[in-house]
Amino acid sequence: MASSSSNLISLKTSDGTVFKVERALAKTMKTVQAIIEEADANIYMIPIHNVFSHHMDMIIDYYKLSVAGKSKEFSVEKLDNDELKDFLLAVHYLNMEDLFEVLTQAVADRLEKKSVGYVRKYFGIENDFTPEEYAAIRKKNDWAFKGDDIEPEEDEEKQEE
Amino acid sequence: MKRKKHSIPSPRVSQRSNKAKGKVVDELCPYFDNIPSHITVQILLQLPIESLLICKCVCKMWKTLISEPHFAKLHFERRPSLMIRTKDHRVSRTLYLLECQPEKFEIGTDNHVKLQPFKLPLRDANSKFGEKQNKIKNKSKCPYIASKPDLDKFGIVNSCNGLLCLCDPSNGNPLVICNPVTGEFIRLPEATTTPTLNTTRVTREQRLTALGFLPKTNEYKVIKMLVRYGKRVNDRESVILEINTLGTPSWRNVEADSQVSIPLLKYPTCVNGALHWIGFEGGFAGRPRSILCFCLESERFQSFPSPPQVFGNHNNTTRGNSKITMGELKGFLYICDSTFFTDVTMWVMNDYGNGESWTKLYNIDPLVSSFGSPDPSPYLSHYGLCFPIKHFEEGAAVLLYHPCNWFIYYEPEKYGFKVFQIHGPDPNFVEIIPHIPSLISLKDVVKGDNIEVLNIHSRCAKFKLHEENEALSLSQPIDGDLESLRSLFYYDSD
Repeated sequence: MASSSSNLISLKTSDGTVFKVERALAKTMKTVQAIIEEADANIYMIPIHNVFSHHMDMIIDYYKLSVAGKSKEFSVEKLDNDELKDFLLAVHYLNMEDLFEVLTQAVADRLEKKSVGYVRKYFGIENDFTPEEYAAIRKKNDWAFKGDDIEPEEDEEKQEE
Repeated sequence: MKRKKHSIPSPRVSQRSNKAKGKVVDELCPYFDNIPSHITVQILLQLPIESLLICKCVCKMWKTLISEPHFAKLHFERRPSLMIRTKDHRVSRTLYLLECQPEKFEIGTDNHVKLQPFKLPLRDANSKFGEKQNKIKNKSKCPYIASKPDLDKFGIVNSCNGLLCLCDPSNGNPLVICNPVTGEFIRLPEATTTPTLNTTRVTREQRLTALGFLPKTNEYKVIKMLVRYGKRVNDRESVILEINTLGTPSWRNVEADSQVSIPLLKYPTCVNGALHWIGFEGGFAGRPRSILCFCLESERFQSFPSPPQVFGNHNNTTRGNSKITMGELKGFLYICDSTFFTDVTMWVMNDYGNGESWTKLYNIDPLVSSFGSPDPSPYLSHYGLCFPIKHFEEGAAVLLYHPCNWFIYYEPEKYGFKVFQIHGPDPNFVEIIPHIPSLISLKDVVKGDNIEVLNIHSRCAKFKLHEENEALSLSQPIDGDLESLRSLFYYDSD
């Protein structure tokens, strides 16, 4: 196993910024940990291609909070949907379990009680049901669409196939 | 959805043409649709049932993901909740889901939140659908059908893995297993006639039924028991025990161990592949004395260690006053004792089968001691029932149900107390069923063609009962501070 005399690991993000992080934090990133373990010699700098510096900032924030036992205070509310998705994919790349679960929950919270159209738009998914198939599946699960807080299906009438 | 594991697609914002529509649409995030399905699954697992059913309509891939039995199993048990049903003179085919998520319960003092309704099948449905089916011409109208409680109402026995066991309320005979969330249900095989015994020596009988799950074989079993007690104290009971493994077309007679004496049993709870009941001594309004366990694998009764501290206390209670319930949460057996308002306690068996592992979680006397007076108003003498909501590792929470349709949600660390009230047309009698909604499909349970899986939504979509026009809603009449709670219980509230 490559050993480093210092306790800091250097990570270089896609936008060229170098972050020096504690070994313990690097350990929570399984992808990074695997790179360290596979290297024969000392690694000076580990490139993390799919991660940007604003992601690293948040990751470091989360790490600090969780070390202090305050991981519940970590919030991604200020991120818009795009940014949250970005962040989720970055954390997924780095293979960080805890933070990944926090972020998937955050995405789920944003999708909760939203309409089918909203969810499709959010994920960029196209409807591949025929009108009959869609009608059948809607009818079967009709009760779920009747909640007061669920957004109305805006594009229902516009649906065309 | 194909995507290389560590690759990142190109720039964030791009324009994409939508072939079908022929116009250019700004995509929010062009590569999010290339998200690997396992990330999608992780997100979907965190959604509540309602949203999942909406997501099923998003596209075929998602429908498949969500419909997989494995997904249902993973999703299950993330959100404990309760079902409520009005217990009055009507058929009461509607169950309302009360989800216990206090974070979402900041509804303020003026709002009423409607509870999500689910339908149960009708007991005597066949006679209705025969005649009425042909008379429906105008589909946009929803005709009302007559229903009779004594014919149509089901009693609810217990809930296991998101499935409800329904029975004939007059004799406790189990009739139907259903999943209220998916609307599926199956009818249990017809009862074989029980042999008549010499009734001169029988003083009373007990009919018992319960639904349980055996993880080892992934089977659900319904047990049905008729216990007849003789007149004399030393008379052995006669027990007729029948079991139906869901998916098989008949009931099997099983020999019951005559060594095990069977008291009055209540609160069937399935944990770890076995059914458990609290045994009450002294008949109908007796005192809790023991826990009886029926192992679903060996199909035998076994003794089971009960928390002596709890049951021992009841020596001094007057009959009929014991308010004790048993339940299951995340594979652990819980006992909640709300008999003594000075000491509402919750116990969990940390190590299944080990009598010494019964641990007291907490008493809720901070609530009660604040009321001070040793002779409080009559409302306080019965807290009603107590249900575990959150596992202790997650902060432990309890729901107290007060007979006047107040719910007190108590989570000591985070939320303290929150008080809710149920409103409805005639909500004074409400039945509570601990239930965890799940997407588990009866088709996977039943495996094979022996039993037909029916669906409420397809059969009853055209019909409504008059009672379905009404709905139950939840309000939060006061902020949950102790001062307000005190005023609530001291004065007659409306």
